[in-house]
Amino acid sequence: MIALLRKDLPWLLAVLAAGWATLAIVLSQEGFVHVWALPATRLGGYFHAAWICGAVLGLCAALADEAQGTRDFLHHRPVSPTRIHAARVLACAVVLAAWWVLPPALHWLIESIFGENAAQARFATLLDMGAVVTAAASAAAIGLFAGTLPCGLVLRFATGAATLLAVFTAIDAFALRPGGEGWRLASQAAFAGWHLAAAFGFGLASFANAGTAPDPDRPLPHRARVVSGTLATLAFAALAATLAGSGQYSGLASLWHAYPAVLRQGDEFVLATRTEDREQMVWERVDRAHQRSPAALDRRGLTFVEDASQPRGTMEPGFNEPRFHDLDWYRPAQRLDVLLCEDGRSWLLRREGYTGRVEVHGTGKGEAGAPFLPGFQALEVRAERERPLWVAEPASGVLWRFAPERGHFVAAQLPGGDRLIAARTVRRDVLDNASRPASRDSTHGQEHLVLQGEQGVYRLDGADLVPAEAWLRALVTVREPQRREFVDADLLSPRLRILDSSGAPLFAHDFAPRTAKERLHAGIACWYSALRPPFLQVAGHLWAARGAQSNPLLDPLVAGGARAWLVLVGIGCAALCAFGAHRRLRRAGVAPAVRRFWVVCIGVCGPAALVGCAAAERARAHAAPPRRSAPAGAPRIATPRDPVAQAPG
Amino acid sequence: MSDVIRFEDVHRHFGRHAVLRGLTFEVRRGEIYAFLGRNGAGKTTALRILLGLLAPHGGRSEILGVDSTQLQPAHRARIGYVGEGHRLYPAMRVSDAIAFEAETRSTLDRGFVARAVQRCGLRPAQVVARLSRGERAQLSLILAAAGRPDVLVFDDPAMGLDVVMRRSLLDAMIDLLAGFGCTVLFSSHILTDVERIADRVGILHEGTMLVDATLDDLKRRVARWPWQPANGATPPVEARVLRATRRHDGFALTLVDADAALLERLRAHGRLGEPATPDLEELFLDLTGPERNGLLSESLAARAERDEVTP
Repeated sequence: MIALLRKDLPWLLAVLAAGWATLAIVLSQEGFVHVWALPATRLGGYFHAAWICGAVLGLCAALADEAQGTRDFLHHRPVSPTRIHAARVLACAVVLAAWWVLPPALHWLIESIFGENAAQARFATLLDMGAVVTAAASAAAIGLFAGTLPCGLVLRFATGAATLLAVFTAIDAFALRPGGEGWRLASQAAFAGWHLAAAFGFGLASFANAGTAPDPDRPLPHRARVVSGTLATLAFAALAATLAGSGQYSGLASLWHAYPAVLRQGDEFVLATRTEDREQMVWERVDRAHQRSPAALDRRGLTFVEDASQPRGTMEPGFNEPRFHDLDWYRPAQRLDVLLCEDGRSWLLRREGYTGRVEVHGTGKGEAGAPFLPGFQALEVRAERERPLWVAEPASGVLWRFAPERGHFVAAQLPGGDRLIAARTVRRDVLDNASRPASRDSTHGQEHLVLQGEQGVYRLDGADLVPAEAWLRALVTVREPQRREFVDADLLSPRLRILDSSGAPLFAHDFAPRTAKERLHAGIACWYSALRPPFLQVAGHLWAARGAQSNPLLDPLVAGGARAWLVLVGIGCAALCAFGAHRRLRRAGVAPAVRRFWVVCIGVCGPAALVGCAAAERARAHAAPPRRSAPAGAPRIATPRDPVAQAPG
Repeated sequence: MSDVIRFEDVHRHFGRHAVLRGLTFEVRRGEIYAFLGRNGAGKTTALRILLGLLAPHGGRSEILGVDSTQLQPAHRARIGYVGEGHRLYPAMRVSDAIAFEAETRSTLDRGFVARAVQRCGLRPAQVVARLSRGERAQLSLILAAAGRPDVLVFDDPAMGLDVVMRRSLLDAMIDLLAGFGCTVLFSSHILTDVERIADRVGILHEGTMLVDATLDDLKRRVARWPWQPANGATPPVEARVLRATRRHDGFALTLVDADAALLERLRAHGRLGEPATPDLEELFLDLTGPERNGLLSESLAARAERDEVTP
């Protein structure tokens, strides 16, 4: 094994050094304080560098002997192909382990020697960095798996790219949850766990191809077909699901845009559709069937109730960088930053003007620096010279103000010893300009931040807390006259109910594609459903929650038992593809067992598996021998082997 | 003597091009078998099939009594192989290459390697990438032979070498194999070298064996006859006439197993001179060169229509 590792030493060292340098450079560009002193939120570059380095490592391990032309030299010696491959896997593991340790160490060392902030390092952040680098392990395993596939180089690279994209998207689907802005991680453990599981799975799968040389003129070996073919097909299916989800998202967004909006006019609710007229959006009243109503829309006192919302929860396929912490950044004074983490912890950054030295301290409530209780809300108020930072903590009923001179938050007394109930942003958005067609643009909403106490309503005026004006109090105390809720949050046919404050229904409308335009968009969205892999469709139909969902692999249109017919259409589509593939394979002379394998794969994974089938079962591999390959007979000049036959004459 | 290497009706094609078409021959224990053929004749393909590095489309090949597709590490330990181009790890030093071979082949004789390396003038500190082609070929040969294999398979070991280096390599090969007793199958283009060391010769052409004979037998059975036809007669087209080369005063006929009847017939239609024994290179050209005659499998009639040499 050592000998097998030693022969790979030149490229191993080169890749190790290149990866090490790349990761260290990326870390240094993120900034020492951001990486080491604070909960790491800027590891996007590190993540991308890690998976790219990992993929390169895997491909190098798989292709090194092929590129050097030493494949036959290696494989003819008395070492089993499994052992040779195990040495490659071990080499990758060693490099990955080095990447896990060395770049952060180098980064810290450089800061220790040349920088000012090494003392600020919190070694807990190594967890964040370590979790991010696990992406290199999964990418390396996928690279190794793809590089050892017994097929042409182009196909290997294409399969590797598709698998990488599909696996990373799938890991995002499982390890990330939707956050306030974009996507963030549930935990480092979930992210690292999924990536290591993928690394283990693909690393193991690559053994199925060990010692199998690409041979375009012969069918794939059975083991390579079953293991690698199945994995690649699943990857293609996952990729197809996310691509279909992306297309479906566009279709649904267009559909929701085509649906009428609900407007309120006095006590009456009306449906109105929007059309563009000379760069201006014009509203026209429609009836319940979404047909234009002859009754004109009186534009006076028109208020939005429900706009056409975007379908939520669909994620584009891709390499989404992880975010382990949600950190908000405030600057209450010059050269002083306060960072609030979603879990209630906070940090204080003091910058020295000339040296670039940064001091990082943990801060919080009072001198003890206690973290804020869940449900806290940061309130930044713009004042003339400074930006006072307030934190409302309804759980304790206390309002906190950051005191720059003390370096921590101090409790702010509400007038009259009042107790804080909530901090709210109230909005007043009224369409009252009757001089022009009612348009969305003419809705001028103003947001006001108010603090609601047990005894009164207050507002923040720079660094001061003052009682709210009467009109503002009215907005808070006179709660919204109605509550909107979707009885059925289905993305194709949502059912909207508007209730009054007591819960009595004021208005109801069941959205459904009724006009030609709506039906067209709905049809496009459904068409993408039919292209999704049937096994994921069935899984989503049976187990996913109805309506918007956060897993891009599952179809929101069939989730929660909706539209069984759409699942059946998808299965039918897959069956048609399987039938077509079976015919093609039979014509190509493929063995019945292989045909059955691909029929099952396509039936389960849908049209995407056709790609895998076409790539794996090339007509050339199953073609009959050329005509001229008929035996040409015995040698015409032959010395008989049998000494008796060598008699003279 | 038992067969150490055996090809049985081996077929192999690449796309629409049939490379091997029913290749059948065997090599016996202790024999040095030269496997000849033009570029693209299928020599490398046949050797790779033999070593289990490529699968055939039909037929089977055996080495050391084991089907080539079923070779295990224990079997490979008994086989030495020098591939085309003498591929070694370029970044290794000579000493590293020897150490690598020793660690992956337990039967390696380090004393033999040390002696052979010294004799060939290789320095252990030299980097493989900086070795000349000839030095690399010698090192490959030493490494392949140092495992004391039962079978040695060389794929064109002298390819790309100049005359001096080729002769040097050949000497090294002869030295290494002297008293070794192992079976050798090697492919080559250099026919003078083959004549020096081979016991038996196989000539592969268009995927099939044209010749599988000992050198002595070849020399005994094949002769080149000058023939001056009378009254515009043309040479006969038949299997025994390997080639009829036109000359200013007639033809040079390369005949195999020429019997008295054939010679009488030629004398009846012209003047037949004294026979000369062609060397292996001339024979190879007669068999595989352009406008070859009787050994091809295509019909004589079709051949006669196309060529000028008609009966």
